[in-house]
Amino acid sequence: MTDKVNESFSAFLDGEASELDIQRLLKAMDDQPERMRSWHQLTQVSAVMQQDVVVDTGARFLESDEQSARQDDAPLAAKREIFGLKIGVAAMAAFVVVGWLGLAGLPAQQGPEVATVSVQPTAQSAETSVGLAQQQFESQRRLNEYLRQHAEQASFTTGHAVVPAELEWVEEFIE
Amino acid sequence: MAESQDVDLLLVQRAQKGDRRAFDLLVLKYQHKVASVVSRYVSAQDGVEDVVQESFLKAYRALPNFRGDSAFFTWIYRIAINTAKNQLEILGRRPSYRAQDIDEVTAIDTPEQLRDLDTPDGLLARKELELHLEKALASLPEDLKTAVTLREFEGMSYQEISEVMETPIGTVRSRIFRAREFIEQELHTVMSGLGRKAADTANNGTGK
Repeated sequence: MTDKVNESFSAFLDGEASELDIQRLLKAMDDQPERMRSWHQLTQVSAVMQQDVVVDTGARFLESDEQSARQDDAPLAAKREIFGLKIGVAAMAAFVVVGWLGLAGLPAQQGPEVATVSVQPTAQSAETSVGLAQQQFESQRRLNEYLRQHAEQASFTTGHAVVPAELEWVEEFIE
Repeated sequence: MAESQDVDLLLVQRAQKGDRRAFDLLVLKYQHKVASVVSRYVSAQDGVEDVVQESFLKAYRALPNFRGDSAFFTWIYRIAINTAKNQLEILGRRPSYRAQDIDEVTAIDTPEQLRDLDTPDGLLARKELELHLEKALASLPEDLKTAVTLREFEGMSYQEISEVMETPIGTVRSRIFRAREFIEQELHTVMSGLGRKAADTANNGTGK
């Protein structure tokens, strides 16, 4: 695959690249930005052979891109932390709700109105708690998946991507 | 196979939508050609490299105005020439006599013309680099050497090379890349040490 990508770049230099080559190159640039250094050296070889003036402008541009990417990564990392924090808060909220439901179960047994809501014996309450937490987790997982797909699509068109934080099922939250 | 200009336009369109990588590819492709053009207006001490970089930066900022009426390389050459002229004005210098109109610029990159004003040091360094290049070429397997020679020195298209060598275009692509990769490895040591200095000096001789 590596050689294919490099061949595509070589063909691009010669004005012989297809659109597929370009897609391949852009994807490789996103996946392995460090590859551009070797491409820059390849352009120098071609320039030497054609007796062009050899410059390092491409390398300077790549450095500038890397700096920008680092600056972009800083808020991205912050966003990830915030996203992770939100998941934590959501999980805690679920825990509190579940806990409250569990506690609410006792007085609820005493009143007909509350009894019609969902107050169940302890075993069933635990089951409900697990169900709610499961629901919460599933919806969060769907949202995460949606964000991931969106980020992947964005990476094809903008060169920027936001990768949502990993979501893990935490057993202790539902106990 | 898309035409080169179509591919450039595709990259420009992507860059216009904010894809910096697409513009980086254009920089990689045209940087040395643009430098050759700029070196006809400004000398190394006047900063060929800086003018080239500024030209690409200007082009990037002006991308929203690029409608594709002309080829990207014509457009970037024009920007580079204007930038070089501005640089000369700032420095209070007159353009080098090698400066030419944009219409001539696309056809001037021949070795003879580039060697016009080589200094003795530049000529020596260029000669040294050429020797290494010759050695690298001589070390290449015959099929790779033929492919890259037909491409770089004869300016043949892949289709033409494929006909001459009676081999599929895919094989031609592969051979040209592998030849370049080999030469790069051979010249890398040279160019990153003494050779780099030589290349720079040689470039100084040609305007860098």
